[in-house]
Amino acid sequence: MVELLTAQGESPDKLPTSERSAREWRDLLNQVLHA
Amino acid sequence: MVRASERPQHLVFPTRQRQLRRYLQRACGRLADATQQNLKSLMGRHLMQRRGLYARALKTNDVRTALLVLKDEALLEGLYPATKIAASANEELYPHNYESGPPLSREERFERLLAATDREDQVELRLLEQVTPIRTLRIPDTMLPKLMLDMCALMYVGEQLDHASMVFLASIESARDPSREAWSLIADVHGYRFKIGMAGWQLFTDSLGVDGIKLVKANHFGSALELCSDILY
Repeated sequence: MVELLTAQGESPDKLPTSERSAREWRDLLNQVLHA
Repeated sequence: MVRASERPQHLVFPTRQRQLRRYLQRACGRLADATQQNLKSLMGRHLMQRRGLYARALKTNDVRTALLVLKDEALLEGLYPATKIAASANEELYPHNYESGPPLSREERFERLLAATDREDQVELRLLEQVTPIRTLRIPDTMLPKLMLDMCALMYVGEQLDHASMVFLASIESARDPSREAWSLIADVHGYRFKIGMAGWQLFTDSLGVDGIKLVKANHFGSALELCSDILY
């Protein structure tokens, strides 16, 4: 799937990965955790 | 292959920041009600009246009155910073020193705030800010992060159910007409996103030392997500 998306022009650093997803959740939580 | 410009909307990956903002805007939009008074024109009228007074005061060399008019206009526009700081949980800070409390009830202000946010009416938003007391609440400082975590769980459920639905819908369409390859691609991408989402949620909740599945169950009462997880993961 990653190869497929990359072939379609998705930038590799913007591809959805579980680590990226986890990081986005963490960023949301950090908005209030470190406010 | 489907070119990026031809790619269906379902394959575009929004960031969560945008998604959160969209959810908040939608929530505001649903509850917003048309405001009864046209505060924008009221504000304009009051400003014009003050400008008239100011011009007259200058014409008669009445600098003191001109200064008072300017001060009042600045107050009306909320240009002065708040001067009082709430000292306790029971004390409220009113930007305009309303001795008997704000002129509008909290419910009225809330409804107007939603409507103004929906209309992006900056004048009304500023006026509302002026009549809204600032309260100091005594709450544990862990309460907001906990609420945010619950909100994340609900967003996670929404995202996952959307991906799962798209997998099933796209699979049905693809089975109906196998020549339309885009449906098969949509099913694949959403299936992939479902798996990524699930693994990402687990990584995230593991890092906090909480049970991600339990957290979801505490916020969402349904069985479809669990069934979809068994089938798609």
